[in-house]
Amino acid sequence: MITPSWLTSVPTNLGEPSHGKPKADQWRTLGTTYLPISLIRLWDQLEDVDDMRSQQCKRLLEVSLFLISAVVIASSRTTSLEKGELYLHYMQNYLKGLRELFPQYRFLPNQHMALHLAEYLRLYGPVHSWWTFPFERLIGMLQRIPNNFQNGQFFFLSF
Amino acid sequence: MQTCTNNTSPAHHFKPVLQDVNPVLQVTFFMVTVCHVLLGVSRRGCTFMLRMVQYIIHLTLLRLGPHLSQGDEKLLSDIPTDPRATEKVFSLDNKTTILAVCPNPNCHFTYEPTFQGDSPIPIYPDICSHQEFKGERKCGTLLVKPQRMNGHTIHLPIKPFIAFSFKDWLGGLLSRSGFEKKMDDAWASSTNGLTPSQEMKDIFDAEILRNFKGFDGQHFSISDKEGRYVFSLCVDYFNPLGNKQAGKKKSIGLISLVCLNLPPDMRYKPENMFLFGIIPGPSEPPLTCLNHYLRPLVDMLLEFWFTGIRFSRTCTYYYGRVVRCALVCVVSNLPAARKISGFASIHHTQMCAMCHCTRRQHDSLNDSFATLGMRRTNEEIRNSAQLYLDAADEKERSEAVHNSGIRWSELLRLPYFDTSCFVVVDAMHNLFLGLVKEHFDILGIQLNNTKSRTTPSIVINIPEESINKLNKHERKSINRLINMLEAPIKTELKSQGGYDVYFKRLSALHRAALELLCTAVGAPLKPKHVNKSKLNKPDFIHSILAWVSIDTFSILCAYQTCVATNSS
Repeated sequence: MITPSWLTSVPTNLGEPSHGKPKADQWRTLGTTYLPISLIRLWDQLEDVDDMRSQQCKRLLEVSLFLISAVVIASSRTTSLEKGELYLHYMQNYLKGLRELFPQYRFLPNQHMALHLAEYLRLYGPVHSWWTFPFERLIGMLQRIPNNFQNGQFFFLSF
Repeated sequence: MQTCTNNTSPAHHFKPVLQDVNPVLQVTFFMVTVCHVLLGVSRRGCTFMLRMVQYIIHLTLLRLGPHLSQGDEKLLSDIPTDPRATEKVFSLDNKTTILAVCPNPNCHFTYEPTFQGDSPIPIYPDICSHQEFKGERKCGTLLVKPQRMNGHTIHLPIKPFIAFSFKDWLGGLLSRSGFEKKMDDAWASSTNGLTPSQEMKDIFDAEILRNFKGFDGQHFSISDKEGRYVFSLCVDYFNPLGNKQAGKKKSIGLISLVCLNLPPDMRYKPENMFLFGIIPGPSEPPLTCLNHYLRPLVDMLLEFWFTGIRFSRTCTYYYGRVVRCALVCVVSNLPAARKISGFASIHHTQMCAMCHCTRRQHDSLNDSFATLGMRRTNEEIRNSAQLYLDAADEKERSEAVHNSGIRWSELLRLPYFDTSCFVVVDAMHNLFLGLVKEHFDILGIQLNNTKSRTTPSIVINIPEESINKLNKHERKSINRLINMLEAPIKTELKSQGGYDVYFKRLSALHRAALELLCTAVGAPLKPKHVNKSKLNKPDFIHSILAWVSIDTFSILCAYQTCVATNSS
């Protein structure tokens, strides 16, 4: 697959410990680009409707696409009231589908919070003004400042 | 309109730097400052660099003749040896206040220094006199340690917190050419007659800022020549020693403000972000202790809200201008946002800060999380927080938290702060690091093997009645089999050795159990086995293992072909 060069690159050996923890932006690329393409290629061609497994797969694909649609809408550079509602619609369908597919699944607080994001899209507009990416970058800069590993000594030496 | 008594002078930003100084010196100062500040060269390295520059210039001048003119001698002697002298010229440093923090890990109270007359030596109290409740024993932890400096003994804080001056920083921002106009123009889109159904391109198009009222009841942006700016606050904790798995774990905090009035492309440049301070480590302040660090910031924001601050000169207003500011959103990851805004953690029964969605005891699968509860309101939160603040002792306090899930936050002192919606859900942590990551787990792609049984990699449902047909031993068998298959075993299955181990384990189970599972999940039998008259145990095992590995491997494989053929 040929991707534009501005798309964050992701580890080719996903799932092995050697690539470490993926960054937030890598998760974003994985979730919104590679995952839907892989899943659709894999499961959309399953034709045998009577087979239980292929039915499950089709359903799981559908549910995954609910999530991916919601994420794409939420991280769009522009937003509107309709988009906010559409986001909520997809997110609710995602959680509903998850419960149907996995009756034993335990919902996480994050999944509840995601429902509230719809309201914030309405109140605050596009997500770029109120997400933590820029602050994480600032943290990265602070972490790279060379230091002597001694907490709180510097300022008193310069009196 | 209230008159402003608070004057802040950003005059030093308008003074020309190194005027009428030899260009050789100008360039040298600039080079060393850039190396020190931007490239991270140490002070020692910069001293070396200054000496070498001096030497090179000396050698160059000697080519003209063995004797230097008086002017050249002066040039050489004007080159300083300490990089601090070069930086001073550019007046890069913000004003700072060094606060003494109580080193007691349960206290964290902060003390501002006092000064005697014109003396630059800060004076701090010796011991912490903070009382959490009236009549309780004082904290009493030692705050300062003696230090010898130039023959004098002065007492310096054991745990310092350096707070940068927001006024000074904002003065600097307003002194830069073009910035002030852009910041004032930002309001245009929230005061025009745009219908709410239209597309929103920035925070100013959205509801909060369209309806944001100033202290006088009018829209915040409406004023007589005053500057009206809005900010977002972020508190986040990080490990200063890097994110290595095996490294030491320390956690220090960052408190930062961003001016939302700047256009989106300038807003997040590091030079335009305000760093209020770094919360000292080695671990996060517990519960409401973060409030002690926020107090100076909130005091300052209150001043900016009620009286406004007068800057004696800004870029477009030569004779000065009053500026009022407001904090309109708190952007943080979930745990930090909870601490800033005074909400209990997500493990509390009242787990949601926005609605009355609760954890229920009989609801072990958290089904209630999938729906939105009744919205909390600002008054309700403020009332609960007041209850917490007014509590007379620890017991009353924990009761208040137990009932409402709300503690006190310094930000509640800001009269305009609407706790029910100013603390936003961070989309980066929530969607990308939360939901997308979790969905990979749900699909059975486990990246780190840290999560074991808690995620449903595969959920196997077998009809109850067919299980009941089995005898006692076979039932035991099938339960073991289900447990084994639901656990994340897929990575081991990749290798032949791992496959054999599982083959052996499955061989110990009853044939009837294996057959039932095979038919229940619809595991495909190998074509050569289909026509067999009687299928035996190994046939079933092979097909079960193939089914398990296909289910998640195929996703990974499809993914890998996707990435591997990526030509860039």
